[in-house]
Amino acid sequence: MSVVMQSNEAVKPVWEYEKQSTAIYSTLRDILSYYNEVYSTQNGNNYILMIKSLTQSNKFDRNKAAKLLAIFKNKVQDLIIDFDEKVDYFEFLFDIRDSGAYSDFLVYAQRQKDLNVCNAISIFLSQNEYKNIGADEEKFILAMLKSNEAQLQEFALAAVLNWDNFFNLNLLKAIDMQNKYLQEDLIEFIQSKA
Amino acid sequence: MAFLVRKIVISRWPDGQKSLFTTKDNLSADSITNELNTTKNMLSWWRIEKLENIGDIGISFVSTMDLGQREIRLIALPFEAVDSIFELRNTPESGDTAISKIKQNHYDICNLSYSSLGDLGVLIAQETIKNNNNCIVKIKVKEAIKSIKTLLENGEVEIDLLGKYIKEQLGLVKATN
Repeated sequence: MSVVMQSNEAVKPVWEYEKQSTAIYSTLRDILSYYNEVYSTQNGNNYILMIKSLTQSNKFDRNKAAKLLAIFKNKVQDLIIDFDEKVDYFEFLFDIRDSGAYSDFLVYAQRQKDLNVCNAISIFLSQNEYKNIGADEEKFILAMLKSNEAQLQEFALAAVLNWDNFFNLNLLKAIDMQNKYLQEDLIEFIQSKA
Repeated sequence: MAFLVRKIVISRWPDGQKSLFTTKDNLSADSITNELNTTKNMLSWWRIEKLENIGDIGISFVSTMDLGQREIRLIALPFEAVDSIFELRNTPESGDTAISKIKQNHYDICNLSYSSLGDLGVLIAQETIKNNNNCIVKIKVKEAIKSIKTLLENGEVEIDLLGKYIKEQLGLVKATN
């Protein structure tokens, strides 16, 4: 006898998700414009206070995550990030890394799929040894690998290759890279570790 | 046969069948805005006389790396193909590398416009797909660093121009990580 499982949760129509997403973007625009103002008059102390206020609590806070992401977006907005270029946003990520808001920040960043932001975070993570990578950071990289978007996958793969001793080859084996060269890279990496 | 070489991020270029149908009209904006960023309407390239020498250019790119990375990819376009369409100028003074002998291989494609940049993008896109003459080459950074070490011992490296990461790997400065 087959059993049909039914979720108690009502399935939201697509338009509702779209509406939510539009609302988030509009909020981000407002926040961004506010922080642009802060930046234009920023001195070192203002900036440090602002980051501290956003990262003080360890409670889950969607608004704080959105604000942090907006600041970060602003920082990397016009960057054409390449691995061998100098970077000046590492400090920001170091500042927020130990806070409770960091995990939410990563989730927001990954959901938004902004290429500059995701690339910047991946580069930051790739420069850390794997033993120092947190579970949320690993999740962030895995989500990018599973995203089916070639550029996000390339950024994430570069981090995994850099870590060298990435934990779970079975997880990597399940990844389907959109670009044939990247697929070759991934296979080569898995084979070298097998 | 001579080639012009440049570093690329492979995922920013069309893959497989898509590349065959790449035109200026449908070329991805990321390919142009991220991969072909010009300065004074010029785009930097490196000339090699034969494809086997592409490793020299790989070493040259690696020499200026500030951050650790496992590998980089280069694309090589036939020199004649580029020279017949674009204005090329040999510009050793603009070559960003720590390897002294490579500087003379530096070329700029000059006087680029939106339209000609599109033409160049299409040329690269088509090459990435066809991969003629194995024109996409992967350079292993660790191997490149070994070569830089040898060049350093032979006095062929401008130490001041080495990237932070490379200096660390060569033991010229203390690693920060």
